[in-house]
Amino acid sequence: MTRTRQIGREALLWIGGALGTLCLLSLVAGWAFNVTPLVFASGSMSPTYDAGALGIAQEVPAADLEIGDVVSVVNSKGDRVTHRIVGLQDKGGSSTLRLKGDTNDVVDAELYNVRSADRVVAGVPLAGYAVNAAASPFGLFVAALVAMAALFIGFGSRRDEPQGASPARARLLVPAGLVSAVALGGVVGATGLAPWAFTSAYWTDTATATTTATTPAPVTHAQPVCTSVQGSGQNKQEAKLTWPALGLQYEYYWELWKGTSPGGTLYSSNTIGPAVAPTPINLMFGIVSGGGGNDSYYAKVWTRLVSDHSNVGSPTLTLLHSGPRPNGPNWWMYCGPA
Amino acid sequence: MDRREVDRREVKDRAARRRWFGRGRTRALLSAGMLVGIGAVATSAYWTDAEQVPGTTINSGTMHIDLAANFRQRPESYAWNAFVLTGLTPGTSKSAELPVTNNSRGGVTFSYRIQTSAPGALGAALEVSVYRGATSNGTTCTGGTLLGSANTPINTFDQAAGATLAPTSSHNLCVRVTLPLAAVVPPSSSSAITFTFPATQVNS
Repeated sequence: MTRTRQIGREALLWIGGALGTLCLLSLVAGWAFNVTPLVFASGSMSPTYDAGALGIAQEVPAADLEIGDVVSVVNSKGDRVTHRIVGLQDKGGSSTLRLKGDTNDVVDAELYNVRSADRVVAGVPLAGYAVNAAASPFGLFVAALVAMAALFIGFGSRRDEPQGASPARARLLVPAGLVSAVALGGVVGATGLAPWAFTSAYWTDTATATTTATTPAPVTHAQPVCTSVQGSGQNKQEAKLTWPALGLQYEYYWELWKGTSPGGTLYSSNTIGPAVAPTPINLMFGIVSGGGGNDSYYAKVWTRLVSDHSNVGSPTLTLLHSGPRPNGPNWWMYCGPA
Repeated sequence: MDRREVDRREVKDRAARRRWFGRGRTRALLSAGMLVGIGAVATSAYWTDAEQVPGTTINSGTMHIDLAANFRQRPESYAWNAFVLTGLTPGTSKSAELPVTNNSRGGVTFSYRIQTSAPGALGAALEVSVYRGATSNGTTCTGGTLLGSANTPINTFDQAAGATLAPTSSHNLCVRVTLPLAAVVPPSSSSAITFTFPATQVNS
C-alpha cells in the first residue's frame, strides 16, 4: 500500500469516527440531559448570538423560566423561534411568554403559551454554519459517502489478506450494517426523538407613518331667505325661512318673538334636527293663535352643535309681520318689517 | 504451556488486535453513527413536517422596512405630510401614495401588515381603504389590489400586505381615508392617524 493511500485511509477513518461520535454523543446527550443544539438563522439575537451561531439549549419546565432568558419555542406556524423573554406570566404548570429579539425594536406579535421551553445556555459562534451545511441534502450525501467509505475500509475484504472463514457473510456484513444504521436513524427522526432543532431567530422591523386629520372650524348657517308663500284656503299665507343645512353635526334652534327686536314677547321656540349639507332647511311661520292685527314679529335662528347642543356664534335675525288677508277677515304672516 | 506456545498465542493475539484496531474497525464502527444521524436528520427534516427545520438559510443580514424615501431607519417614524387630511367634511375622501421598501442588508425577505389607528371622535368616524400597487389622484385610488375590504373603520384595520417584499423591491401603497356622509363629528376635531407597518422575516 502506498503512503498516500495510507494517509487517505487514516484520514477518512478519523474524520468518520469523530463525526460519527459527535452524532452519537449529541443523540445520547439529547436524551439524557434534554440538550438540543440550535442553529441561529438570523442576527436578531446579535450580538449575544450572531447569525450562524450554534446554541446549546436545555429543556426546562415553565416554572424555571425567567425574564431575560433566551428560549426557543415553537410558534403557531410550527417554526422555532429563539428570542429573549421580556414578559412572563406564570399560570401554574404553564407560562405565557412575551418574546423579543435583542435587535428587534418590537416584541413578537405572538404570545407563546408553554409548559416547557428550550433555554439557551451556551453558544458557539459560526458553528451553526457547519451544522447547517451538514444537514443540507449535499451535506448528508457527503456524510453518507464518508461513513460508507470508512465502513468499507474497516470491514470490507482486502486483497492482501487471506479470506476469512465465511467470505459470503463478510461481504453481506457491510451493506447490512449500512442499511440498518440508516434505518435506525430514520426511526429516530420519524418518531421525533432526534434532539436536534433548527431555529429562526427571526427579524422584525416596524415603521410608522403619521398624519393628522381635522374637521373644519365651526360654522354658522347663512342668513335665512324669507319668502312669503301664498297657498290656498284659510291661513295659507305663511312666511318661509330657508337656509342650507351645514351637515349632520349641526342642528338649529329658533325663537319667534312678537314685537320689535330686541324686545317683545317670546311666542314659541323649537329645535330643527340636523340634515346633510346643503339640504335646504325650511322653517314656516303661519299666523300665531290670537295673533290678529298688524304686528311686528321677528325670528331668531341659532346654529347648534349636535354633540352638546351648544350655540355656535350669534343667531340670525329675520323680521316678520302680520297683516290682513287681502280679501278676507283673517290675518296672515308676511316676510319683512311691518 | 511451553515457551513456544506462549509466543504463538501472543503472535495470534497481536494479529487479532491488528486486524481489529490496525484496520480502524472502531473508527469505522463509530462512523456508522453518522449514518444514524443522517437517517434522523433526513427523516425529521425532509419527510416529516415536524418542528425541526434544518437547512434553513442562515442569514447574517439585517432587516429594514422603509417608508417613502427613508433608508435603513430604525426605529422609523415617517411624518406623512403629503397626505393632507385637514378640513374633512362629511362625504369626502382623500388619498395618497406611500412606497414601502425592503432595504434589508443581505437577502432578508419579509412579509408585513398594515395597521391603522386614529383616536377621538373623528378617528371613530374615519374609514380607510388600502390598495397595494395602486395610484392616487388625491381623492381615490386606481388599480392595484384591495387589502381587506374597502371603507373599513380606521381603528379596526389590520391587514396583511398579501405579498412578501424581496430585498430592494418595493410596493406602492395607496391609502384612501373617508369621512362618511353620515358621520357626526364636532367641528374643529383633530385626530392623529398612525399607520403602522410591522414586518417579519420570512424564510423561503
